[in-house]
Amino acid sequence: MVLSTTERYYLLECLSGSKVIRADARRVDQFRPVEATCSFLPNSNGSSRVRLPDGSECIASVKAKVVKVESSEVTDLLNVEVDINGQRDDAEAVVSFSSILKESLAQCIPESLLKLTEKYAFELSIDAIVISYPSGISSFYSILTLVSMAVYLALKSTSLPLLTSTTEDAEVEEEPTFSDDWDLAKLLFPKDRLLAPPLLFVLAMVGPNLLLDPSVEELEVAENGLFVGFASNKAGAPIRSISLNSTNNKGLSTNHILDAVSTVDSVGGSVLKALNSIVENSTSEF
Amino acid sequence: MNIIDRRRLLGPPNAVPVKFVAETQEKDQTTQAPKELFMERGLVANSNGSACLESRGLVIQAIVYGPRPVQPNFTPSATQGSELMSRATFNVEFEMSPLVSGFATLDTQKLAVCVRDVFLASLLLDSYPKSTIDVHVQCLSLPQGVPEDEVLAMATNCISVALVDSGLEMRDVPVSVANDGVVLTVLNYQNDEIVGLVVGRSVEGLASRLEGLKEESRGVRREIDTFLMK
Repeated sequence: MVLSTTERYYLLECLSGSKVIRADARRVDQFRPVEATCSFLPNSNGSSRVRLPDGSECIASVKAKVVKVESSEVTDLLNVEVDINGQRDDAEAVVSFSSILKESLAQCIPESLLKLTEKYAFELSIDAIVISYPSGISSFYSILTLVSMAVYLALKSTSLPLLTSTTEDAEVEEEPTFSDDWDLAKLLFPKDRLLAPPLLFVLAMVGPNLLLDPSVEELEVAENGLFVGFASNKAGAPIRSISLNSTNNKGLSTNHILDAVSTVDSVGGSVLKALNSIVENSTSEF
Repeated sequence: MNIIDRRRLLGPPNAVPVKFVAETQEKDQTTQAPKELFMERGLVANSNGSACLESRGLVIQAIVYGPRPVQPNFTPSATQGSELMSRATFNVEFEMSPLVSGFATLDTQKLAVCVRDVFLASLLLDSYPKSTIDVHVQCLSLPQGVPEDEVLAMATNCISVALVDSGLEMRDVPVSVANDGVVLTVLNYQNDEIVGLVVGRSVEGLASRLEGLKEESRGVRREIDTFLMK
């Protein structure tokens, strides 16, 4: 998007003042309305589709495969692939998103969650496809939250077949067998446990203010940005400063960083609650 | 039968092998001694600026090419076209030397993106319209067990020195330090301007950790300044 000098100046004045006025009348820590559905892909263990009002849309799918465990590293059991429509597989955003998501998931998913028996474990293939995004977007990092939400919902809706064979197979040569009744399948992230996949929140810095979930116009005038992770009901790693456009970059202050963490800390819980309600209300059609 | 080897001049039976004191000192240096930076600049003659930094066996080289004029591409959207005309584009390429082994855990693309974002906020790209600035970073030696964070911090410092060597206009010299899963790059101490932050682990006591890293970065900045003023 190309803003004229007047538009840019007007937007900058509105967003950098002591009383922030966003173009879509949101608060600084308010998300845009999100439309999401779960479990709509018949061949996946979990899936989701998330849409934003600006036309951005992302589909995520989780597939599980039983593999023989060779190492105790969780990263070996997680395959994360992000695809952005119109972007090459080796494009910077595509590679970065895959590595960021894998890194944050590996920190939050314990090995015990994927382990089936002493010899076998589930290997998760998490695929996210960004079908559409606003034209003239200055940085793909603005859709990182969208992708992370899609992955969160897909993982939360992932159900795995019930293991019927023994879990102690260290001494015996036995391949795991499963119940073919999908009504008995268990969720990868059970509702009664605090454990949940991580979410990533993108914040744009304009003057002394931080704006959560920046729109395309706000990205144009953003002076810097940050993404902050949210897992186990608190803000945390990964945190990284990101450049949201290539024109007017400035540095962050320590207060910006601490504000970003506290903003995500206060907002994360309600976002999580809203996303969980989508998972609970969705019914599998298959 | 005589078993003495008469073809060689053997030492007396109570001879003790010579021990070099310097050898033990070197070993201690790699494990305990504070990080000492060895810097060199202007090593690559056909570039606009270059630098090589070494600390505790980690050797990184940065070469700056640019500003070089670029032919505007007429096919992309108007946004890209106008950006190209008004300011320089800045690219960073990070690669491991073929001589280095055991870097499978290093995500070179992530390192390149992090470093590029730091310098997008530090360089005065508006001063170089219709041009491109390319930086090639190469890790020449990577000792076993050096974390990615330290490579990132060292690469940032190396590019800073190389950019100063090239004479390109910058707002200030960014200096990076890494400790305990946090990499902090400070551009300006007076204005409290941080141009790069990577937190890979817990955020417990983040404020005090950032303050500690800032203090540490002052020492590195002093070393770089002393070297550049020589």
